[in-house]
Amino acid sequence: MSREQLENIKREDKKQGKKYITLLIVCFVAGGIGGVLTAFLADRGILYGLADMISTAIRKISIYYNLVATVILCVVVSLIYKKSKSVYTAWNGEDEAVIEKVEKLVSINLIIIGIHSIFYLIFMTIGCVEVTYEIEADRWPATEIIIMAIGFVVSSVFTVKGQQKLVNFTKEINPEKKGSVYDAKFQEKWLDSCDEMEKMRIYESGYAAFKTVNTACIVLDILCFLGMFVWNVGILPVCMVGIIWIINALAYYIKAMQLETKKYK
Amino acid sequence: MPLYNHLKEYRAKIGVNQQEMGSLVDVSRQTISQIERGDYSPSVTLALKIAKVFDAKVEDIFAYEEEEN
Repeated sequence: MSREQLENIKREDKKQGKKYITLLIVCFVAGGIGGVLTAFLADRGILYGLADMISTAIRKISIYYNLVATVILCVVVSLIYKKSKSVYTAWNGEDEAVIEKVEKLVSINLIIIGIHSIFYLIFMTIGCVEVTYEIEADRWPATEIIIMAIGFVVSSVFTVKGQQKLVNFTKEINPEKKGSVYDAKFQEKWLDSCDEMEKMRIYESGYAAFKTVNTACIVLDILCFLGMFVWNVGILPVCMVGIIWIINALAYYIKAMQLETKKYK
Repeated sequence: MPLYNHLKEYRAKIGVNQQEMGSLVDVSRQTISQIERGDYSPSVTLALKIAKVFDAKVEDIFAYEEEEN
């Protein structure tokens, strides 16, 4: 490396370094103000009361969420699916705007089902906590347990069947696609059947997700740290965030190292 | 530097739609659409496959902006 290149590197570091230090100072001051404010609110029990209210509301909602959300989403997804099917059936095989509309409708449905598949598991878990509280208080919530069980089954069926229908429709539109949602290796087979442009999109999306999770973990780490003192949540939330953060980072770095020796034919 | 292409014209000559073109070169309809719009530059392998379908040279189908002008 030439002396000029080394000088350019140092110059760029110096220029960005000033912005970095300014950002550090701003974060330090903001963190200080936030910490003092948090302590002030915590002393008066305001934050604890608010957290308790939110926690109770979420626990109550969780009993009914799966059943209600699944029924509503089933209607929404079905309407969008029917619309996309009818537009596709009428497509002449040439008009790009029409097929792009179909693909967009399918993507919207996939996002709805994808997000719901996470929410229903989370709310199921929270619902179990609520039921446990009720049992410990010597109340036997039979109705709530039945509603939760039905909601869980309905959500599971909706998620799997919904994804199956959408994946099969995508395969109808794009016959080169391979893989069944019931296959444990579905994601691998689907990726293998994608062409170079689609793979590039998937990889770019993966990298964007990696960066977003990194940022989210920083924010969650701060919230869990505050939570330790304000809501007395203990060290478990911080540890959980740390585990996710490490897994995210390691998965990326290990894969990057493996790819250094990969042959791209 | 933008990559221009005459893929749509060549495709029209042999009378195939985007889906059929994609099948001929093992890519999706979307990729053919993106290439025709200039939103995606194909790899060397894909460009060669496309040229082979039309029995033409890669340079006949794809060109840089300067060469196009």
